[in-house]
Amino acid sequence: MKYLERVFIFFTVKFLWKFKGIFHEALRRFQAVEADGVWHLYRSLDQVDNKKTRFKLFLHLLEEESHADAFVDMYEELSGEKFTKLLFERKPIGGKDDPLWKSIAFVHIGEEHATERFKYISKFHNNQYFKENIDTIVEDEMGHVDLTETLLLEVGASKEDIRKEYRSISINRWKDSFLRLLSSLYEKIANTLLSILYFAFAPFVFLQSRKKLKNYFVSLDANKIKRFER
Amino acid sequence: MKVIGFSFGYHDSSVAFIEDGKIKAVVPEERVTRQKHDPNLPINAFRDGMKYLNWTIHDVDKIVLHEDSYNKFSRVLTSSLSGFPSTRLEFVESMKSWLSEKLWAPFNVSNEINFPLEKIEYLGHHFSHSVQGFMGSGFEESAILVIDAVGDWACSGVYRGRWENGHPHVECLEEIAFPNSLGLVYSAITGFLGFSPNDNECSVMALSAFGEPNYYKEISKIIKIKEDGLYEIDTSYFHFINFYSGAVTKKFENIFGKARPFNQKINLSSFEDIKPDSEIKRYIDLACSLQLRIEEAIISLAKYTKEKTGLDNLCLTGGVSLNCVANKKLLEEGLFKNIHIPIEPGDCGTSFGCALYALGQDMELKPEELKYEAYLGLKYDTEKTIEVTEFLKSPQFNDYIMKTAKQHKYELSVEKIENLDELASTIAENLLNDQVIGLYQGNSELGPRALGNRSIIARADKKDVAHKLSFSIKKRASYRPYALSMTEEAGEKILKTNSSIKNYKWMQYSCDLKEEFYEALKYGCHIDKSTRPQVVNQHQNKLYYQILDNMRKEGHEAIINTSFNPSGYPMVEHPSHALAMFVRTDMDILILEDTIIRKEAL
Repeated sequence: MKYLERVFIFFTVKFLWKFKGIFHEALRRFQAVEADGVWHLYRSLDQVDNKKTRFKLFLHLLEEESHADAFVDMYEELSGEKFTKLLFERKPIGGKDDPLWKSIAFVHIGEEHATERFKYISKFHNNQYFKENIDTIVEDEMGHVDLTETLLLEVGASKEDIRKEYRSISINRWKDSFLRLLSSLYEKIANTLLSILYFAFAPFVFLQSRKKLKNYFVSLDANKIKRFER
Repeated sequence: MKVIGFSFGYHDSSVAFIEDGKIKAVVPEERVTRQKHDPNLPINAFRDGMKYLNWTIHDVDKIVLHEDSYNKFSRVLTSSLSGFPSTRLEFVESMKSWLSEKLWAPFNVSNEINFPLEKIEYLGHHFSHSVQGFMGSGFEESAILVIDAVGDWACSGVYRGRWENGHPHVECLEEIAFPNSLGLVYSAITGFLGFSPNDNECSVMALSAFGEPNYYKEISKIIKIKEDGLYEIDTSYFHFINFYSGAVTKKFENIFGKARPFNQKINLSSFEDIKPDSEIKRYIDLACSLQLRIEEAIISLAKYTKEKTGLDNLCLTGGVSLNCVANKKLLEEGLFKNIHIPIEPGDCGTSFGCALYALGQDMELKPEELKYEAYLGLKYDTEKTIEVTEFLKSPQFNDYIMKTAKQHKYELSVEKIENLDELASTIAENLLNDQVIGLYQGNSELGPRALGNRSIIARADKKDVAHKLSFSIKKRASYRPYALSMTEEAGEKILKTNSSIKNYKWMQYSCDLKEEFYEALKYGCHIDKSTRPQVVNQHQNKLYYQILDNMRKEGHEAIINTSFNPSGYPMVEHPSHALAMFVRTDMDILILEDTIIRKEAL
């Protein structure tokens, strides 16, 4: 699996990222993922009773926040365009009654994957400025992998629980990747169908639409309270 | 009776919790998710609000949405078809998001929070804006003017609101349809000037003070003011319909030249007279001309509204009413005896407007009792965050400070002062010692302006303090001015205004400073010697008033007040957000309720 992933990263960095748009979009995505991680860490702070553990999580989130900001700088430097954030829908990990250690296990796996990926991205990429930044992030992330592992034990998870949780998270991550792939396929199909619909439908209605947009005042009365009936 | 209002879908989503005519809380999703202008269904804000108020979904009588998604969809569809054959991308992208999600908004809300669909009501987007202006204004009867970018079909609208036997009635008199939008023009030119549309409009407003209206004639051809007072936009200058082609058309570029690259330096300062180079001058003159024309269009619309309604009260709302310079001109014009601008006139505030209005149809309310203060957000326990500071001297933390935050080594000291007078005088003392202070207390304020509960404060008479604030803390452009906070007594003394000082409680109007006070407060003012004042009394914010009063006694009539947020993030909400910004920047002191956290250099 790891070998496959390395090949995938090599292909992405060496070929796909030659298209600047794809590379820049990847930077936006990295920023969004880091920021999402920070959000989860913020949310978990109040659940931690042990203050030293809380401090460790806090320090962890400070570094992650710096990484998110570093991707903003990298994007602006490398694209010459103003950074606009990808606004993720924030979803809490697991159910509301799940113990805290499950969230930390989730973060741990995420850190491990990120470290691996960033290591290879840095190895395959040619831009010195980008490599240096990524290397700094990798260095921090390696620390985070160890830290989250220690934290898991500190918040009371047993080794057996952790092992099981890792496996289930890893399976879920693969599932998610597969679903992402499916959804991008679905998107391609939707794009094609909607394009066909556009060219089939728009020629007959565009003049009418233009006429409607020429109205200076709104003719539809939207100024009342409406209600849904089942 | 409990009612919840939702606004979401385009930008700045929020949830409002109303109980028997009282606003219990309004929670913007961005504050909870740390994503500025978060447009998503505000489910995190909803959960946090419910938990804070200890409500369950079974307690809730109805839910009101700020928008009629079918109506909006018809506008999006019409507009994307009208551009045939060059709007394929717009059609495909908008249909994907509408057909997969946005069109089903009420169903999504119902499913997501397990609430019966038949108890969900909804209002049109601009109708929500109009009631957002009226509800809470305290007026028995009022004209309402909404000036926005675009909602469903309307871009601006004139309405009349009145109370009848304890029930509010808002009727529409006129709505100007898409694409005639002042808000869209301002946003498109914001993009052309190298800033983010729907976010950095304030930068354009700030830049306008440096320029001359050399493009006034050209802009007047784009924003035409008709004889009856209404305006018309020449849309051939903008890509409002095929927006994937960029904000402005070739025709616009032929007149105003190429767009400003976002990273082109603007070496202007709000407190130093620096001559801009010719390339930058072109942009600031455009900003100045745009601002001037927008002000004229707003005043003209206000005159039209006055003629149409004959009323003395005005509720002004919609995103464009965040333009405090235009609001100042409108106030000075004296067209209306009273003007009310809601605390959050943009989309975020429509959640409480529509919920209050819908509630008013079912139960009798008193307009006077609906008036609200700014602090409508949530309140958090700071204890757990303060405990973390005990460890902020460990070697790992010092490593972080030196390596990642790139600051000098320091240690934190923590002091608790329970007596409010003592706390206020300690804070004032530290301000006098040139300290920049993060002030975090109580419930967060609603809206884009920090009003003393999530604020960064500093003295306004020292250049190095202002520099530190701009470059090492806020990391923001030096041409953007800070705002000033002052007591009502100080406001009476230093502000050059004929209108009531109470208008200035929420920083919605800019105002000139009397000449003799400018030098002493110059770093909280703009280059034209105006400021965006917040005037505070004891009842609004006790601790903040005390701090301001102590400063006043020391000869400082006002202090700088800027929002407590790192660049690119929304205002801090939770105390841990405040602590994080404090340790990551050069801020000197953090106040978390009654606890003072200081940095002491090692």
